[in-house]
Amino acid sequence: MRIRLAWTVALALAWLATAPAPGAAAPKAGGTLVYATGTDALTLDPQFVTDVPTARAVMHIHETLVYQDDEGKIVPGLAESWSVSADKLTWTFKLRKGVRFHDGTPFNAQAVKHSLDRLLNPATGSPRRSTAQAIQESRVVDEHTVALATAKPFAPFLAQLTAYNLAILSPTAADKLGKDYASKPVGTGPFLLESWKPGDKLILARNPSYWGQKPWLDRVEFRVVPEDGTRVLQLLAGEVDIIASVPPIMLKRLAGAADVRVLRSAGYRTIYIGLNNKVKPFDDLRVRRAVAHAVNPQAIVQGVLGGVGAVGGGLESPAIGGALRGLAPYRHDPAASKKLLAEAGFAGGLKTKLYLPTGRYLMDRQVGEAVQAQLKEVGITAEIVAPDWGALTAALNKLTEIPMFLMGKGSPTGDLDLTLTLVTQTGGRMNHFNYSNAEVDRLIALQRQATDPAERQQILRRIQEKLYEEVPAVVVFYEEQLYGARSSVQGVEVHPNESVSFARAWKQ
Amino acid sequence: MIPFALRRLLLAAPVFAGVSLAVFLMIHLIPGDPARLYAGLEASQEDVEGVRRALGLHEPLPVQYGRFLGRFVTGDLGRSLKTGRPVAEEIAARYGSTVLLASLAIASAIVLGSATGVVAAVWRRTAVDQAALLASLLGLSLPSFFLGLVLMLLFSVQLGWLPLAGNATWRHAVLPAVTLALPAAAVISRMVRGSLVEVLEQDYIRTARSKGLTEWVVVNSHAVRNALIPVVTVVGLQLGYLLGGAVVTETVFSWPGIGRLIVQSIAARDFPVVQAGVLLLAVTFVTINLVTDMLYAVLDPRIRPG
Repeated sequence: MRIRLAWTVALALAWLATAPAPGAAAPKAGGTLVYATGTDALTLDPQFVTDVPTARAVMHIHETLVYQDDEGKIVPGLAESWSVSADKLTWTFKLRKGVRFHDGTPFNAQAVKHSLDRLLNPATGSPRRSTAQAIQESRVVDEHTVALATAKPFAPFLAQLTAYNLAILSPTAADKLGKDYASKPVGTGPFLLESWKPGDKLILARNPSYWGQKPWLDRVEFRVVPEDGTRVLQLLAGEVDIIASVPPIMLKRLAGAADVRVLRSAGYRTIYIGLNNKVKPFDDLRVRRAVAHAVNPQAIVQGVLGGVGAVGGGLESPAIGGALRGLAPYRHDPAASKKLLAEAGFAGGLKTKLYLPTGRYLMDRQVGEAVQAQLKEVGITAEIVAPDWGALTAALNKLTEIPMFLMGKGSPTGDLDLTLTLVTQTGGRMNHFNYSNAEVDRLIALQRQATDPAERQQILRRIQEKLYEEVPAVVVFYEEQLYGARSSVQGVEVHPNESVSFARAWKQ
Repeated sequence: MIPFALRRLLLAAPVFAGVSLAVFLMIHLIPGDPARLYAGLEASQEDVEGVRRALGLHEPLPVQYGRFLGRFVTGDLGRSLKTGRPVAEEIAARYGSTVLLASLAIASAIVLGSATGVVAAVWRRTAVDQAALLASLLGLSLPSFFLGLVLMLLFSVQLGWLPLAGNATWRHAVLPAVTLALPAAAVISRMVRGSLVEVLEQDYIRTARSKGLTEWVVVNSHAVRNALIPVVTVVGLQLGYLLGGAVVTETVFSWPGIGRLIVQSIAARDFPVVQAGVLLLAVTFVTINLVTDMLYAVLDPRIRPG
């Protein structure tokens, strides 16, 4: 009797759990979603994409062989399955069948080879040719099987293939259009290009012959609205449906509005204070640690960013697969900071310059000013210099010109290899703080070839712990992504790598 | 008049050459590498060099300037470094938008400015004059982004009469045009008042009054025309400024104009767009000056063209 009661209750609970929540509706087909963005796409050719706003448009039209889910796991895209040879040098992909490009050209192994060869061909002039440099050769095995060979075992290979520069283009269109492909793209994606008025608006239309789940929306309009305040007002007025990069100061306004809601997601980007390891006094570990103890990340996130941002001590955002979680920021301790400075010979304080980008990252100037104030408390007088982005990057390339600067770093592939190579390896192109440690270099080279995931993770852990000890840069916060959307908008997918997908979005 | 115009345009040719050389030197000499800016910080040095070669930026400066001039005389303005699209295409559409907005703004400014200026001059040194002065000061002092956002909040958000941003319909042009017109009207108003007051104190005006004409006729038929010359100068300058593209207003209202294009191109070190854009502005200014000079001759027969 009691068992029957228990069963009945259990079944009832199970039924309740699967019943639709009151108020949740089924997706409705049709309509246009208006997405207001701060900058226009620069091109629609995936092999010429160098920034996120452009990638967001391009990746609705094109697709890659594989994707990464939000936990960093590799999932099928245009490739259904894959395997790697025993010597770890050849990756074989079984491609999806029955897929066509928007112009009717069949998607097959030849198309994949064509795209990759085009990217690697210097004559194409792609600024991101190096994203494919691990691929030594691409071979058509049969109509739906392609084999990609690498020169050395390359553990992050699959993650590399998720990069938007490696999306697959229609070979017929690419050959026929040449440079004009940039404004007349032909991919396999859920949307195709309907019209584009550069600097004004870009309109994508539903692809009725898409191989996967067809979009609910008829159209998506990427509307260019450069001013942050204007975007928010348009959202509140209902003139646009969804906006990206909401300034934290507008958060309260949006949260208070009845028919608007906020979408929040973790991000891959770290905002840090770089300390030039090759310039006195930051070549001294004690001084770097002093700066770390002087900065108060929590206060900055609360005060400047309205709580939108996460804090931590590791240079890599914990949202990235393989990044260490739980590395706390250096304790905010002005007394400890002053003591370290005194030990290093700066008992009377120290003068330096803090270079800031303006308008490049959310609230960059204000964050820089907050850091300046926190440094003053321990006797470090940092004069703020805020050149425009072009001048700043030119100055960063000069080894010893900039002692201290604010900068951001992301993860284009969602895999630590690329970001460690770029930012912390000796001579890395984004190693603006000139960190150089032979042991770390050795470990970076080692992890790149460690195809066993557990072994690789061990090596990555050691690298990150070493970086945490040596503190070449002080982490201020990890960016969180903030979108604003009308309540009628559902099904928008925001990813930590800053991409957003409207493929499954719909409007009530 | 025509030979005068032609002669002036010919004389302007060295001005254009000077402007193009100055812009070329300035944009190339400020720090910042367009190849690196385009490819992004993550790109390999190899990729950046590849981009540099593809864009012709590896050649010495005199060669690059020579190429620019050579293409320019055949009407080829080159391609944007950032988007790869022909510069002429990038500029044409946006210049058209700017011309539209500038025309609306200057027309409104002339009407509003002249009306206020005349009223202030006729009722000079009274409360009306003071009110006009205050209004002008306000119009001149309010920063355009503040004015724009306030207008947006009032007319779009609170009242819902007008759309917020973009350039899709005629309604979209109202707020940006008003934002641009108010400061211009303020300047025009002060100039009209000042110039008209000076004329109204002349002897020939006293003569007209003593002939028994009404004040209205005196002002309209006799005074205003003679007061117009300094006003025409000011209107010309204001129009030149508006056609240069009011960057801030264009940004606040998402109006796709040439001002914003040039500023963005400077930040991206997009040389071909900056060079062609600034040259276009120089041509605009020279043309406006020319028209202004010709208008002087029309307004005052004592001034002979040339």
